[in-house]
Formats: sequence, C-alpha cells, structure tokens
Amino acid sequence: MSDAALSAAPAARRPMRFRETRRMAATYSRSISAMLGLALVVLFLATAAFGPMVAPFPEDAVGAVNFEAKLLPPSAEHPFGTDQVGNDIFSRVLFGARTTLQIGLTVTGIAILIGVPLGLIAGMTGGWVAETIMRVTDIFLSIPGLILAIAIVGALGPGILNAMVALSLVWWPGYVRLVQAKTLSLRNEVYVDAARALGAGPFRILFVHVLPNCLSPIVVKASMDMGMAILGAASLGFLGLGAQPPFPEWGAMIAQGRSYLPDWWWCAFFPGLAIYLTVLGFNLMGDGLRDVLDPRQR
Amino acid sequence: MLELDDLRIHFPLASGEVVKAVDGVTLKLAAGETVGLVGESGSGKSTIGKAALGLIPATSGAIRAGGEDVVGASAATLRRLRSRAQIIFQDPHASLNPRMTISRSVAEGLILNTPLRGRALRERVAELLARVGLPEQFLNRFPHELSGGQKQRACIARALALDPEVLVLDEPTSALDVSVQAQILTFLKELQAARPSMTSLFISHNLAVVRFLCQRVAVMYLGRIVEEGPVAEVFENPRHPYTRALLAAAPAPEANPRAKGPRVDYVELTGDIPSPVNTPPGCAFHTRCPVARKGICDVDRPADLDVGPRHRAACHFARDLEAA
Amino acid sequence: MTDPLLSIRGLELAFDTFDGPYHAIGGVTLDLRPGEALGLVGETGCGKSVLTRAAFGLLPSPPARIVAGSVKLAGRELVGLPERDLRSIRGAEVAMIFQDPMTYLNPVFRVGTQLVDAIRAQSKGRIRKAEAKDIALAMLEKVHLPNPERQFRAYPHELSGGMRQRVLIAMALAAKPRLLIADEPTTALDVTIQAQILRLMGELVEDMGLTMIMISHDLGVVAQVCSRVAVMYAGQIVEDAPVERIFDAPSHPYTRGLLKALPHPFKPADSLASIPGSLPDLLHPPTGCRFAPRCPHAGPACVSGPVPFADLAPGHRAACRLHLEGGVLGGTGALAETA
Repeated sequence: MSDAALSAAPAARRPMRFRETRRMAATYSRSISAMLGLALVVLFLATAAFGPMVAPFPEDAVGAVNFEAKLLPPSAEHPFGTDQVGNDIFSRVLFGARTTLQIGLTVTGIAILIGVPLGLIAGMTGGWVAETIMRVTDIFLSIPGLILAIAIVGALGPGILNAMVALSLVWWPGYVRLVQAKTLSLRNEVYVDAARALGAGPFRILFVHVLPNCLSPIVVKASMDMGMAILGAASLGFLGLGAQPPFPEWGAMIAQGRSYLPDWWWCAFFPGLAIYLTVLGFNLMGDGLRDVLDPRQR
Repeated sequence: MLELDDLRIHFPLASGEVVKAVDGVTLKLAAGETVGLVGESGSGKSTIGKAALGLIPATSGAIRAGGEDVVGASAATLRRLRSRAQIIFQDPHASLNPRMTISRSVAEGLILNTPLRGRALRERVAELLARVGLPEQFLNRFPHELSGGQKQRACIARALALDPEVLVLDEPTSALDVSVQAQILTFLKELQAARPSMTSLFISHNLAVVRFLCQRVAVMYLGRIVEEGPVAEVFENPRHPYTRALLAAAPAPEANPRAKGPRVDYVELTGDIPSPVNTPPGCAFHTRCPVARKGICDVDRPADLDVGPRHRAACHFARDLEAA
Repeated sequence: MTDPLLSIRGLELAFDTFDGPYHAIGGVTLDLRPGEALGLVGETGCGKSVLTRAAFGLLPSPPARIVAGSVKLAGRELVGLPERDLRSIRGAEVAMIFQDPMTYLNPVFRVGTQLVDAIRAQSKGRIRKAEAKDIALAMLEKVHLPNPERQFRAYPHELSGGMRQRVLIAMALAAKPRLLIADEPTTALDVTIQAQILRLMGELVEDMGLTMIMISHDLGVVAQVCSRVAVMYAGQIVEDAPVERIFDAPSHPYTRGLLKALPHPFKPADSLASIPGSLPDLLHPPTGCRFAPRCPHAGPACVSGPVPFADLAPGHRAACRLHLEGGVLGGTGALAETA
C-alpha cells in the first residue's frame, strides 16, 4: 500500500469503485505467475508493435537470400543465428510477432463474434432454436479442433488467410457453451425477475442485464484462447498448411528449421521459444484474470 | 384491488409428475389493505406473489391486479400492469444488477414506463432514494458497496418509482438483521399511512412480522389456504390445527416461552412437510394433523368453513375446535 | 462452583486484509461451566461464529491471526497448539453442527456408512465396525429419527432437512464430546421443523447434561434451549446473563435496542424501535465502547477507553459505563428507570 493511500485515513469516503479496482489490481499483482504472464504478453505486444522497426535485417523477413551468411550460429550480429538461406532469425522472429498477433486476434475475435450471439440466443430462448444451436455446437466440439481445421484448410488450400478462417470456424463452439451456460443461470437471477416486473422486454434483459454480467468469463476465456489460437496457427504452419515460406511465421519457421536439427538447432529453437513464451504468457495472464474477475470458477 | 380466484399453478416435471405449487387459492385484497401470506417452504406462497405480477403463468383460475386480468394477458396489458403492481424480493443483494449503480437500477422502471429523461429523471431518482432514507451519496454506488438494509431500501425505491396500486412483498426482511428489519418494517408501516390506497400482499414465514404489519392473514399449507381472517382473530383464536401448530412453533423472544405461550396445549407437529409433487389426498394436512380422523380427512377435501366474522378455516372440524 | 470447561481469556483475533487488519474479535472473555447451555447471540458481522471457530482453530491462517488471549478447554491451552492436536480435540472433545446439514454429509455415501466411519475415526479405530453400527443406531434412536434402521441405509438426499440435522447431531454426539457447538442449527429449517429440532436439543441438554454453545441471530430461538445468553456486538461480548435476566432486565443499551426491535407474535405493537446507524468499521474499531456511536446514552467517558464489565447480579454482567460507579447516568438506577 502506498503512503498516499495510508494518509487518506477515512477510507470509506474515497470512491469505492476505485477501491474495488485497486483491490483487483492488488490481487492480480500479488500472484507472481500472473505478473509473469502480463510481462510476457506486454513483451509480445511491444514486439508486434515495434519489432519490424528495430529489426536489424528487415529485408530478411520477406525472403532475401544471402547464402554467404547461411546457418551461422548465434552471435552479436545475429543474436539468434541465421537460417539455411542466410536470413537473420532474430529479425524474422520480430516480424513474426505481428503475424502471430494478427492470427490470435482474428481467430479469437471471429470466434467471439460467432459464439457469443449464438450462446445468448440459445440461453435466452430455449425450445427448438436453442436445441439446434446446442446440438450443432456439440457436433463441432466432438471433432478434434485441429483435425477439423486441417480438413478445412485442405479444402480451401494452404495459406495464412485460409488458416485463420479454418481456425475461426473451429473455435466458436467453446464460446457458445460458455455463454449459454452463463445466460441460463443469469436468466433466473432475481434482478432479472425484478426487471421483468418493471416492464423490461427480452432485448433489454439481454443487453442490459445478461450480457454485461457475462463479460468477465468471456474476457478470461479470450485471454487463454489467444495463446491456444497462436499455437493452432503455428501447428498449421508447421504442417505446411498455414503461412508459406519465406513468410515469417513462427510455425512455418520451425517446420523449415526442423530439417537442420540437431546441428543447427537455433533455426527451430528460437521461433519455438517465441511461441512457447507467448502461449505461456497468455495462459498465465488468463489464470490471473480468472482469479480476479471470476473467483468462483477456480 | 388484488383478487385471486381458484388459482392453480402447476409445474410439470421432466419425470412426468406435476408439482402442484398452488392448488385452488381464492383470496381477495381490498384497496388499502395489507394481507399477510404465511406458510412454510413448499406452501406456494412465493409462487402466488410472482404469478400476481405475471412473472409465472397460471395454469387455471383468475388473477386480477389493479383492475387488469393477469392470466392470459397480452403484452400490452402486462405493460400497463407494470405501473400498477410491483414486487420486492427477499434477497436485496440478488435483486440488484451488480453492474448497475443504484440510481441506474431505480431509474429502470421510469425509463421503461415514463418519458422522464436526463435531468428530470435524475432528480426523480434522487427524490425516490431520499424518501427511503438513502441520501445523495448513494446515487452512484454499486450494490456491493451497500449494506443489506440499504440495498433493500433501494429495491423499495425502485418498486415505488411507478406509484403502484398493488405491492407484493416477498419476504422483504428475511435476509436482514433484526435491527435492520425493524428499520424496514417501520418504513413500510409509515408507507401504509402515507399511501392509504396502496394494497400490499406481504409474504412471510415470520409470524411476528406479519402480526406487526398486516391487517389480515392467510395461512397456506401445500398450495392451499387453510385459514384466513383478521390478524388478531387468527393469532388469538386460530381454528385450523395447522395454524395452531405454526403459532406454537413460532419462537417468541421471551424467557421460557413455553410456559408463557398463549396456548401451551397447541400440539407440536411430528414428521415432515410432504412434497408438493405427491400431495396427500383429502386434506393435505391430515398426515401430520393431531385431530385427523380416518375415513374423513384422508378422503374429503375440506371446504372453507366460516368460523367468525371474515374468518374462514378449511378444516372438517374447524367449528368443533374450541375457541380460545 | 465447578471449574469452567471452556475458558476464553482476552481473545483477540484479526483478519489480515488488503486494507489492513480487520479486528473481528476484540478481547472476549467467557467461561462455560459443564452442563451449561450458552446462547451466543448477535447480528451479522458481530463475530459470534468467528469466535467459536477461532477458539478451536477452524479458521485458516492467514488471513486469520490470533493477536492475544488464551482458550482453555478443561484446563488445556488451545492457542498455539499444533493442527494435529487441535484436530483430535475437535473430533473427540468438541463437536460442531452447522446451519446447512447437507454441506457436511457426503452425497455419495449412505448415512449409516458416514456415521460408522465418523464414530470409528473419533475413537481412533479402537471401536470395531459392528460395535460402531450399534452406537450409531442407538444415537439415531436418541435423536428421534423415525425408522432408524431404514434411514441408516438411506442416502443424504433421501432425507429431509430436519432429518439430516438429526443425523448430524447424532454424529456429533456419538463420541460423547464434552462440548457441542451448534452454529445456527435451525436457520435453514421451516418453523415447525425448527421447533422439533429445538425441542430435541433442549432434551439433550437437560437429560444428557450436554454442555453447549448455540450460536444464533434469533433471541427467540436461543430462549427455547439455553439457560444463559451472551450478546455480542462488533466482536465483543456486551452482555452475559441468565436467559430470564436478558429478557426481563436487559442492561446493555444494545441488548435493549435489539429486544425493542423484535416484533412479537402475540403482543401486537404499533411501532418498533430501531437502532440508528450501522456497525463500526472493524478495520478502524472505535476506542472505548464499540456501541457508543449508536448509543442513546453515550457520553464522553464511553469513548475514552475500554469499558470493563459491571456485575449486576449473580451471573449477569454488562460492559456499559452506565452501570459502573460514577457512570454517565450515575449508576444502575438511572437506566432501570428508562426501561
């Protein structure tokens, strides 16, 4: 607690809302793992934002060829070493962050845009509409997501855009489940009854009373899903179904570097480390957010 | 003002069985009256409260609230009903949206039913909250920043915002501490004096609170009214064995209540309340009743017997049970 | 006079929170003699549940922290005892029952299995299974569970709330504890069922000579079972008296306020007195009497320092300056007149 907070002795007089935010921030910051997650996510976002500007060899990211410098081990000039065509891996990892962020945001965003409305409809209406939505959701959930995504990319043809489309299409059912369950319980809250007694119609109940109270679990799930979507995209890239070389995508970089293991380990190691830290960061942050926003879900 | 006529509310279960939450209830509340609805869990008292506002559909029978037919009402009628009948729930914490400020919650009814907006709306909300004893600093607080009593005051302000003619109070003080309960009860008593035309249905399991606030009382057991009459008459001269047991069980705040109780001879009940899924045939109370007779009580459903002025009891032996 | 079974001396307990220590219990001293049934009464947040839980080490630490004081059970100091010893005391010497019996019964095991297991665990395995079953059935008989043989084989969800509470009482008493702590045992029950359970508890106290602390928010409930009542406010005991004296000669302004705030089912009243104000913030508890900010009789002496107990009658004490010599109103007489 800061000195300023201590000197404000009549604590009750301070606006309680800020106290609540402060309490949440304090709860979050008390967890070492949550703070580590936040740090990793901030590092990742900063890399995505400024990485391309500070990359030492920007032309390497788009597929320049420099065979004289191929497969150099990590050094001062090339901190992560160079790959089989002499590209600076550090620069490519920095560029890759932006691609990865794009993938994560797009996939999670589309999944939310599809899943949340469907979940709200299923939770609020009941009857055959809800039944249909939930059974379709069940079908999607019963097929392993990545396999379905591979099938979709197989149909659409490989490429980073198609990979994102495929992942988005397999990602939304989780949100339907989450939001439907939450809506079902919120629909029976006493304050919803009170609103109905005051004359609130179904849309008002949905948007004023139900949706705002669903937001915390959605935020928590979205944070965790960012990591999972990134991992999914990297997997597709690794299988050659996502981004195509020389496009700087971490999964595709590992796929290429794989053939040079174990002697030229840095080709696969550093993109892998980037994926690992990013996914770990989002997961730790999601865990921390859940403890703060949704303590009962532990 | 509020009339229930042979009201039945049944909930079908997935197993095919039917919960008879309310099973033939007739009750009339005159304008300005406060009537207590007393019963234990499963008696259907809260179901009646919600049905009176159209929040739960009735299976059969009629409900008239503030001159509107509630059963089978159109959306437009129900909307008209909103400004005429309101409800206050037991748990003040659960009945306020946690993401809304107090003033926003209180304004909800006004936004939905009146053209008031902006400054005029804010002033009206502040006035309503001031009337229930919540000064201006509470306007922008969230529910979790208020105590239970303060939250219940906000709920009362929200219900009164539309000047209802009928007010349903569903155990409004059961979740509150004694000293806070006294504040709310005192406020409700003042409200009765301030708005003599408002009709209230006061649902409670607490007999002492009903005695304090109500003019008449109806005692429910398993979806039916077993006794109904003026409060003093029912409490001092109960004619249904269930009412007697309920009164005997009420924990009175005095030393050695059994010695000082009004009727030591009222029997304590044995056994549990049967489930409303399998209500016993005949008189629903006969399985626990100390005066039940085979061949009568387990076969015939007792009719309401007049046992005094405006005092009825649904027991075959209501007239034989001695007056106090 | 016999030695007290439970002796709490100056117990202070704080919860460490984000905003600083929350002084939940502020110096409680209480003696309980064998065979006594004490009602611990107070409103939400007064510390009545925390007090008994703290005394027997049931509060997780952190955040709970015993700041000062001692708790002695039959002469043995409990504060600072390792968890292992406390656990064996809780099983065999002190038994507890709680508000919601369902929470304390495992839904997937039969009632009888749980009873037998509990009895064997309490005896540390010295009792054989068949023997434990006999004890369990005898206990179920004792708590008047209808059809004990059949209920023995039932699952908890097949029992009604009242029957579950009877099972828990049987389980608690099977080990013949020296002390039973009943924390709002009838709050979740219907009025007629509550009356049955209260009658049972009254019977156990009278016939078995059970020593009991019954925690309740309801003075009416406590009056049916207990011979002595301690009223708590904001983490302190403000008045402690035989049950007749609490109702007939309440001496602390808070006890009086509480009694005047209670509607009575058989004595119609036109108005109820409510206690103005709200509980003090226990992060910054007031010095002196914690009730002073809401007290109609409070004077400058009340807030200057801690208020000692005044002995008013045998077994009747109240922590109020009005009753101390040179009090605000000059002794006990003045307040008696205002009653």
